[in-house]
Amino acid sequence: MSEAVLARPAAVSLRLRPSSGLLLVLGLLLLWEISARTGMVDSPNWPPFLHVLAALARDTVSGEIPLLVGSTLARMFAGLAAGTLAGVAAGLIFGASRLVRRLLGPTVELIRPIPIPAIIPPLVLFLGLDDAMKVTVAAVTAFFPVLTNTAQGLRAVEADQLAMARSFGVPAHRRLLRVTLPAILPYVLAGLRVALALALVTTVVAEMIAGEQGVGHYLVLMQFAGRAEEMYAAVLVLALLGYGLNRGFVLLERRLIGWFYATGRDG
Amino acid sequence: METLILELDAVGKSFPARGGPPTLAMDRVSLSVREGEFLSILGPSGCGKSTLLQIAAGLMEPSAGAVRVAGRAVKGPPPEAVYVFQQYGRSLLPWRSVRDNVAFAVEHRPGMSRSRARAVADAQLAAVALTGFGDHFPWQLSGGMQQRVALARALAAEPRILLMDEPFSAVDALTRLDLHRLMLELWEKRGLTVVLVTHDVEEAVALSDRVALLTKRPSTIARVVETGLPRPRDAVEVRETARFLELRHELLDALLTRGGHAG
Repeated sequence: MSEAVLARPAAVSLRLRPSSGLLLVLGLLLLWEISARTGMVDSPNWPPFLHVLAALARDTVSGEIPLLVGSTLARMFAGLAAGTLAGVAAGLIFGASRLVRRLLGPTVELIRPIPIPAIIPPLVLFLGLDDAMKVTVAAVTAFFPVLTNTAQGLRAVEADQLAMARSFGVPAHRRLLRVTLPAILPYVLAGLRVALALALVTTVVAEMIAGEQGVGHYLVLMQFAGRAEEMYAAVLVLALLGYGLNRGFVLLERRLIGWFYATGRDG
Repeated sequence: METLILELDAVGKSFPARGGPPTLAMDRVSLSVREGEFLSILGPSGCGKSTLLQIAAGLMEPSAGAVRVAGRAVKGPPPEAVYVFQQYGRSLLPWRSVRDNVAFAVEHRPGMSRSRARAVADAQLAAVALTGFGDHFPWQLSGGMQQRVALARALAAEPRILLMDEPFSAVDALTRLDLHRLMLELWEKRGLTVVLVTHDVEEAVALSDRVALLTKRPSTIARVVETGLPRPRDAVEVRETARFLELRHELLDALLTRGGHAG
């Protein structure tokens, strides 16, 4: 529940200027290409970047990678949705009741720091290798950041806004829906932004550890098969996926809670 | 015409104190507000004026005594009354447009469609001279304009009584006079009852039919003064009359020399 979570998301600039960080990216990829072609690094595990791109293009056109990405994302988003709903609900109860906070606070603080990958082996025993386990992993990943941020957001709701609504005779359920929830949305989204980045990691790790699904499993499979080009292609896909998800989320945030940034409530 | 719209009967309020007996903030406040009058509650800072108003609005429970609005005991916010907050910036909803902020006052009512709520909002925005600002957001407007949005929202609920908590204290002097004029105009046009809490003597005298003087804690009503100033009145010109100056002197004297203490 750090303040940093609420800081304005940094937008990575993709414009090409002499000082642009993108030049470094291109330079590193060029170094990769040269090091593999000239024999600076001479290993079957270090294919030229263009071969990796070619493998990526091939498997994309064949439909294999889109299918893998789709199945990974489907599980991740299913888990995120479930974890977010549960996190908001629990956060509301947590934030509203001091008794609940006192009763459950220590338990939450003990469970929260457990690295999610560590609970994958026991989860496999109960939920098996497939969707149920992986969706649960993503859900648990989302649950805690959303819970803590929701509870924190609840404390930032203006008392005057709630009293104003009461004065107009607005019933309690509508006050929750029309005042409290919009007011805490920026906090929930900040939690969700953290959860999104973590969920991609934990979903892929779950796929790598168990089962035969998604980008994570493909990555490990290619490693075992000694197909380095495809293995790196999978890494590249994950990099692009992570970048794209964050970028998309920042845009969504700007649309949904522009008022929050405009009023300087983010500090 | 002598209908009493708001009655406070020996209202007291005490707050729990750490490791001691509760602090008495307000003691046996009795006050009757006639339908259609403009009454100010005047008192020094920290005397519990806001507390008193919130009790009248049903937003806070008194520790002693009774509150009646339109003859009925108050147990929660009565439909006849609307409370206008001091910090307009904090009671407006920043994620809603100005129009939707005003519509908020009525949109929950049974049978109220979205389009009708918006039509109501536009009409009220026109009444406070904010036509054309419906699509703006509150934080895009000046302080005076934001307070007019809050006023339009209060009027949209068509209350019989407006309970206003220092609504003009957070704006500059010129804007305040502007809002005073608007307030008198609306009050006259709509036959409202207004209870205004303020620490500004001139504001209280210029606007009111009666001024109730509240003492320091534990606060109680020291006296109630009829202004006897003519109606309709201009909120600026009235300040040049002899009666205004006399009342101003009298009330300032009471606030300053007695430190607002009863007796």
